[in-house]
Parts: sequence; structure tokens; C-alpha cells
Amino acid sequence: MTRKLRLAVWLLTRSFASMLGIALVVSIVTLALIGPWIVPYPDHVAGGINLANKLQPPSAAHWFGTDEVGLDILTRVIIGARVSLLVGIGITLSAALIGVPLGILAGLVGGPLREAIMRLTDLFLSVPGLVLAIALVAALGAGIVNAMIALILVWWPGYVRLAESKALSIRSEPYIEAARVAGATTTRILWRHVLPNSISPLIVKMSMDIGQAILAVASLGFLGLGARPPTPEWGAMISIARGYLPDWWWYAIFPGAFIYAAVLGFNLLGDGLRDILDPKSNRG
Amino acid sequence: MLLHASGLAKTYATRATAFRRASRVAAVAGVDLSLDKGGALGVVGESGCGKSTLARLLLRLIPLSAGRILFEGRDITALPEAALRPLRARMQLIHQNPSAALDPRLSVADAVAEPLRIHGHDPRARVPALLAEVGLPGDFLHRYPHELSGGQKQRVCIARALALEPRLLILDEPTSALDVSVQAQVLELLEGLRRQRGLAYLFISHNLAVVRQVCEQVAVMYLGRVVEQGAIDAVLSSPRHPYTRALLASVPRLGGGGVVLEGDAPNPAAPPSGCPFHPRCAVAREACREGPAPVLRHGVACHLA
Repeated sequence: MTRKLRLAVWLLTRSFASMLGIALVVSIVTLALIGPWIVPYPDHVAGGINLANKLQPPSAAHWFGTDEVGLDILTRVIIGARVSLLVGIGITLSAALIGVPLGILAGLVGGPLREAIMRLTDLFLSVPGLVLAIALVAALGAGIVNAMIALILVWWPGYVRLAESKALSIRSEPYIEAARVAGATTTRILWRHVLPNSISPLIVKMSMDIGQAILAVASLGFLGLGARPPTPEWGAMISIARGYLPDWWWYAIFPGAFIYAAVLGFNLLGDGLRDILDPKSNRG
Repeated sequence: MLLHASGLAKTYATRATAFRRASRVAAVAGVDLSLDKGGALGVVGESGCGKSTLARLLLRLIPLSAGRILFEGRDITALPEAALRPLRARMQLIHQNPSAALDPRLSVADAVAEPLRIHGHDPRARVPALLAEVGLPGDFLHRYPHELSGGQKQRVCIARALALEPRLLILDEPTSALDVSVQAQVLELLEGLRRQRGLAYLFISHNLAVVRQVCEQVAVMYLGRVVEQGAIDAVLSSPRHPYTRALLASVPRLGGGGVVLEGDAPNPAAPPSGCPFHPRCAVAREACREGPAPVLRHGVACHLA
């Protein structure tokens, strides 16, 4: 076990991109965790108006400047990390929890059940995800919870596809037959053999999807369909800040930089995890 | 009688697509065989002749198209999977490729313990003893399949199969994926285990020399049928079916000579008329091309024998 761990650490530290990904993800997660205790203006989170102080450029008192109602942007961007992370992880986990069991079932059982599951999946995948999510939010009503529900609904089919293809290839492996010969039930084969052997690509996909989900939520927020002001959400902040470009650049730049860092971080982490979990796909 | 099978058949039907007509492939076409307690029967034939399908039919791993299987006097032909599970302890399979037959995520200890856990035994005391029995020292317990050589992996598979004290071991080309030097060691191990444990072997191979080393009886298969069957020494010293003769002659030998088998086995989806072997048979006559395929009579299925 320690040998495997050492190999994993070595594979990670060898790659600059993986280390950058880990650094970005760890910083953002730390900021999200300790945010409420370190922000300079905790009372600026809930909103409020301080027009005397509006649109101040970055300074010692306000590192990232202030917005159009005089709120500290640094405070709101750090608290925004909580919203984005929670939503990004929530969407990805829920989508995987729906998609993976359906996919493994489809791949393992086959027949008409597989046809039904996979055609339903195709139906969802045939429409661009964000477009479908916009339509769903429009039907459900704008808001951060509805944005999450809409994104979960467009996100699970990807997990069905991946889990099904893994289950299909594992199903014909001789070690599955060997487990049957040993007397294993289908449930045991599923839990002890199929799931552990298909988990690596799923973890890689989930890491990358957290970044994508953060971006998707920010996009919905930008369109006014996600979190509503004064909730400090990166996409919603940029949406308002857009009107103040280019003269008050700091208002849009800092939330944008955080979105960029979060998405980049989770993508690089996903790449690094792939190198650890699947040495065969090593790009050297 | 430990195992008795009669009229075993497996037909695969392929559905018609835009580019292909529907067809039926008889992978196994009416095989009878029986195996005594502690006996060893070799099944030989070219690849694609239905040997591996036969092994899986006997273990009820794939559904039968026809036939009947008795195991320890009990008809298991129609037993449902749940009733079959306890019986699985007594009939085990060794795969051709040990690298694929071990779950890459299970350590050696977990792989050998799995059948014991499934059948409700405590694996702790028995796993090291089983590994010792197949010649693996205790420090292998916590290794993973990718850290082992082919021969070591096959030993782990054998330990796993022995865990439940089976009466019958079906070995599907157990040495063909191994180096020649390792083959001999694994064969030696298998022979020893059979003597000590009173196991019965159904030994599938394309290598007559390997079968001769392990088995007393042999069945030669061609295109899903048994074409010759009998005591191994008799079959090897005086083969009666032209296919057996060709197989024996194809074993490389100093000095050469003998008949050489030409061409590939015919497509089982479109088997030749008459005797299925006639297109490659050196002594085929007009009668072999027409009429029904010859049936196994007195140990040989040939119109001319």
C-alpha cells in the first residue's frame, strides 16, 4: 500500500500541471472553508448600500476595489467561492449518483432495459446541455436551487454513457466469469468487481465536471437565471459588472479570474488523477 | 460417475442486419462424455472447435441449446442459478489466461479468500495453507496480480479454485498462455494436486503432448463434435480418425513425415455437407461428401474407420 501511495505522489509531483491544479483547488477550497472568518467586511456579504464608497479602485482598504453600491469585492468573491464550490460539487455528485447506477445496470443487464436507458440518455445528449438547462430554468423559475436542478438534469446522461461502456467491457472479462464460478451473486459481482474496476474514469470525469459545473452555474448567473443579487455569486457579479467595463475593470476582472482559476484547477487535477489512476493512458 | 453429459449442444443465432443474413452457428453439436471420480479426460482440437464452449456448458455458465448434464448423479441441466451456486463449490474452472482471470483490484489474499467468504467459511487460516499447497510462499499474500509472473498468477488461480475443495476441475488450456519452462512446472503441480486430492480433471488443450502427460482418456473435437474418443495411449499410438492422425502428424518432430493438415477449419455457420471433415480429409471418398455426418461409434466418427 505504501508503495502504491509513493508511486501516486511521485506521478503527481512529476507533473507541473498537476501540481498547479492541486494548488488552485486547495486554495479555493480553503478560501471557501475559512471565508467567513477571514473576509475584511463580513457585513458586505448579505448586501447593503454604501453609495459614498461606490466603485472605488483597488486600494489598501479594498484590495479588489468596490462595486456599484460600495460593497467590498474581495469579500464577495471569497464568499462566492462557497456558493460555486457547493453548487459545482452538488451538481456533479447528484449527476453521478443518478447516472452511474443506471449506466452499470444498462451495461450489465442488457436487453430491452439497456435500450430504454440508453435511448433516454441519447435524447438528453442530443440537445446542448446549457441550452436545455436554460429552458429548464425558464420553466422552473430563476434561482440558484432551480439552476442546480436544471444542471443535474442535463448532467447525468454523461455518467450513464461512461458507466455503461465500462460495465460492458468489464462484463466480458474472465475475472467476472471466475467470480460466477466461485458462486458470487450478481449483486456481489456488481459491488466487488464491476464498480471498483470502473471507478477510476468516473473519478477523473467528476473532477473535471466540477470545474465545468462551476462554469455552467456562473453562465446561468450571468444570464440572470441563477443566483440573484445580492447573493455573492461569480456569474451574477460579472453580469452586473459588464455594464461598468472598461472604466471600472476591477469589478468584472476579479470574479472572472476566480472562475478561471477554479475551472482550470479542477481540469488540471482531473488530468493528474488520470495519470495516477490509469497508468496505461500515461502520456509520458 | 462424477460427470455425465449427453447430447450437449450450443447454437448461437445471429440476427439479420442490413449487411448480413441471419445465421445459426453450432458451436457444440451433440457431445456425449463422462468422467469418473478422480479421472482425467483430455479434450483436444483446433481453436474454434468448441472446446471452451463445451467447458462453459458443463459448468452451466452459458445456457444450453440441448442436452443433459448429470453431476454427482444429480441432473443439473435445468437447475436455476440460485440452486446452482452451492454446487459451484464442487466444480471449478481454471481459465486459459491467468492475467485476465484475476481481478486487478484484489490482492492475492483477497482473490483466494473470495470463494471462501462467498460460501461462508473463515478464510484466515485456510488462505496461507492453500497458497503453500500451490507452491507460493506467504509473502505473496499482499501482492497484486500485476506484480506477479504468469506462472505465479496461474498458481493463484489454482489456489482459488481449490479453496472450496472441488471434486471436478475443468481446465481450459491452463498452460497455453505460459512460457514453456513454466508450463512444465504448472503441469507437475496439477498432476500432484490430482493425486493428493483425488480430483477429476476435464483438461482442454490443443496440445496432445500436454494432454498425454495429464490424462488417461482423450476426446478429439472437430467443428463442435467429438470425432474420436478413447484411452489416451490407444488413441495416440493407433489413431483411427483421419483428423486425429493429422493432428498427431502436425506435432513438429525431427525427421518430418506424416500427413499435414491443410487449410483452416470450415466456417461453423456454413458447415460442409456430409462428414464435416471431408474438405480437409486426405482419404475422403464420394460417400463422405453426402449423407448425414458420421456418428461416434466404437470411439470413432468416420465412415471409413
